Amino acid sequence: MKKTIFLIFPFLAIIGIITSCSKANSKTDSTEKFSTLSVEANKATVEDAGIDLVAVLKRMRTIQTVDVIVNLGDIISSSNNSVLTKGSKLFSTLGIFASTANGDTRMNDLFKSLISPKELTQDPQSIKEFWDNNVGTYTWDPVNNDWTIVLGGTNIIMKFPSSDVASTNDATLTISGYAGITVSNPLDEDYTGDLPVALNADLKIGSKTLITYVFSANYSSDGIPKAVASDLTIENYKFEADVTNDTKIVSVSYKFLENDAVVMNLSVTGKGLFTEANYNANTTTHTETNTYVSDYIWNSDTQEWDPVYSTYTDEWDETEFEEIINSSTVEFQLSTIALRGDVDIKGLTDQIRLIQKDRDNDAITSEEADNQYAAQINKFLNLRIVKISSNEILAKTEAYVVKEINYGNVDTYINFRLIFNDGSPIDLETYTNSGFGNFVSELNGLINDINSEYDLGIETVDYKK
Amino acid sequence: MKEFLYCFSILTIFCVGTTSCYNDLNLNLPEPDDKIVIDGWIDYGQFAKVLLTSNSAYFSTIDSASIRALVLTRAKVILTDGEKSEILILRKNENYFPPFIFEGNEIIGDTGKTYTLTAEYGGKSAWACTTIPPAVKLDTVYFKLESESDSLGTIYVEFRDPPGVKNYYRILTMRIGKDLRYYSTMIMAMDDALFSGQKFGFSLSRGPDSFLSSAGNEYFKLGDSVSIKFCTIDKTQYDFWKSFQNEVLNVSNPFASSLSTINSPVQGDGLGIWGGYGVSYYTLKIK
Repeated sequence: MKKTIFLIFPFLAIIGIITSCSKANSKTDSTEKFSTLSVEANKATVEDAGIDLVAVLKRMRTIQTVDVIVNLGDIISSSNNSVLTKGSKLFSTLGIFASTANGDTRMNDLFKSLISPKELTQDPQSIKEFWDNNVGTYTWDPVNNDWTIVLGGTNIIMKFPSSDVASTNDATLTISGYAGITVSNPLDEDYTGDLPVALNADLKIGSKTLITYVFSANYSSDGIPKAVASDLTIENYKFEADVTNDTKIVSVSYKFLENDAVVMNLSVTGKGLFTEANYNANTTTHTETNTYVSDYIWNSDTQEWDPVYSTYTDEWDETEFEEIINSSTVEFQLSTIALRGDVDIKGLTDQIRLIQKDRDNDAITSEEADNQYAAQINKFLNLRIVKISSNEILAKTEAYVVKEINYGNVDTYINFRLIFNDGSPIDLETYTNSGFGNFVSELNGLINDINSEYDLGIETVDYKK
Repeated sequence: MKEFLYCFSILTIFCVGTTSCYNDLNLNLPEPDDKIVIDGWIDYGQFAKVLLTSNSAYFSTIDSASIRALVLTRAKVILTDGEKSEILILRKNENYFPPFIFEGNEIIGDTGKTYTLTAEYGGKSAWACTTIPPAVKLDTVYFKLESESDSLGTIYVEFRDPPGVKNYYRILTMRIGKDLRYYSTMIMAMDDALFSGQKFGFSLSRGPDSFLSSAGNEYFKLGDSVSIKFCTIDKTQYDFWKSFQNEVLNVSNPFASSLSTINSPVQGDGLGIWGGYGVSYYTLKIK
């Protein structure tokens, strides 16, 4: 069972590398047309999208909630008797939000926290049991530097000062509606308790709601999440994370909004057969036995050391992942632009294996192999940058064989380039490294502000213009 | 008192004389037409490389930022060799400034072909043709210490000019580990008018990496490893470098002015050079 879950979570991890979400159809939209703007204008559009993101992060850093969460973290750290620990799901999610707002962590960490099945507290035998034993009202006592606890009721209510200068417990964190289900847990063999199905939380100062948090999930009988939906609303900002899995389609969607406007948005869908049986059917165990000299024995007849040979056997699994995840679509939206793509993983991998076989048999040269690889990548991968508002393609991405001539020999390797409307190509690395000077400058400005304000030493982004 | 009045009068006359000469001069200098400036080459056995910028006004500010702003990264650059055609790809290369260069990936330089380069940008088009003459090899390369120096000197080279044909040469050097790329020697180009078909030797003075800067000197130094790129060029390219050299020398003299124009092979809405090189390389470790 562990194997099956491993099929899904690496997939999610790949998504995590990029960073946000949308449910828009990622297939090539027939209405997508090439932009008629100049390459520089298109590049500026991409750059502006990055600058928009930095501006949002700057605004988010100034909201009141960040300070409240930071103060709650300080209180929990200083207390020996806290119902929430820093490792608990809710607090870690809020803590990651605070550090994201402060620029210490990436937005992606927040989304990962939102969908993670992490417990309410660290190392419980049962979350439900923990919940039942700890519902009650926790009131911060600044004199004793600890919580005054009155157990009972249906919620966990924590009353504490909203800042280190607040004289009263003016902030209230209410955690409610916990529900769990007891099924096998593929993530942790040592945990046999229930898995969370529902949880709500809100944070208020007086009557003003700063945070609302809603988590819901359901699982298959073997404990694999069939659906996870997690929404975190913090003042004007909303983070949504959704995962669905029906063994044939796995999709992940991360969305970050400011005042209902999409700031970042990532959706990835994988099609295939995500079952343990399919995994096992496409996994081959290989063994290799090797001999080595493990010792030397003195031979009095020959007056020499004779080697003693031993053997050891290596064993490893190789999985044909293209038989498990056949195809994938991706859309990564950053403010006004989106990177849209779809890849036929099975089609591409099958062809690559054939080319590799020919290359291994010396049926084709290295350059011929690279040419074939590039052709197949372009056949099975469709990746383009699109301007959301006009649905115009700013550039298409294509694989190509780079040739380098050294002392008369032509060396080849595969790289990617952007093709613009006039057919002119720009090396992808050149495009991404050269067009974002203002964005990086803005980002470094934000980092410097944070370093100054919080006495941190976050490194700025190294960028050669 | 008389002396005071005398001095005062002299001072007054002097002040009036000097201040009356001052007058604000407002010149309405015409802006030049937008041109595509090509600095491109194709070596024998190599892919084409093209730096592309726009022109700037004579009295415009010249600094690294302004030069950087001139680079044309969104142009379309097409190379043909009479049989094949390719659109050059823009890549970043920190060895050049501005660090963007259009490079070929299909057509390799060869003798006997005519290479036509076309650059299109902003509705304008510029083009030029070049050829690659057969390479000529150097016979001798050595370092000559300057008479009054214990470490500086020039590189002396000898070669035999192929008889029966008019030949043109250009030499570039790169101090390995010091220079980012090949730079032209002080003499940017020469023909065989004085040594046609004969053996000929001369000293190479190191050229600057930029004529906008006076930093550095024209000598090589003990300990340098120098790669010498000895090139044959066609007459069109020779004419360009010869006229460009005259212009560079004249503009560095505040009392001289060149009224000539540079013989650029670039036609249409463009300036600059597009040249093919027959090349032979030599490395000299100066001990």
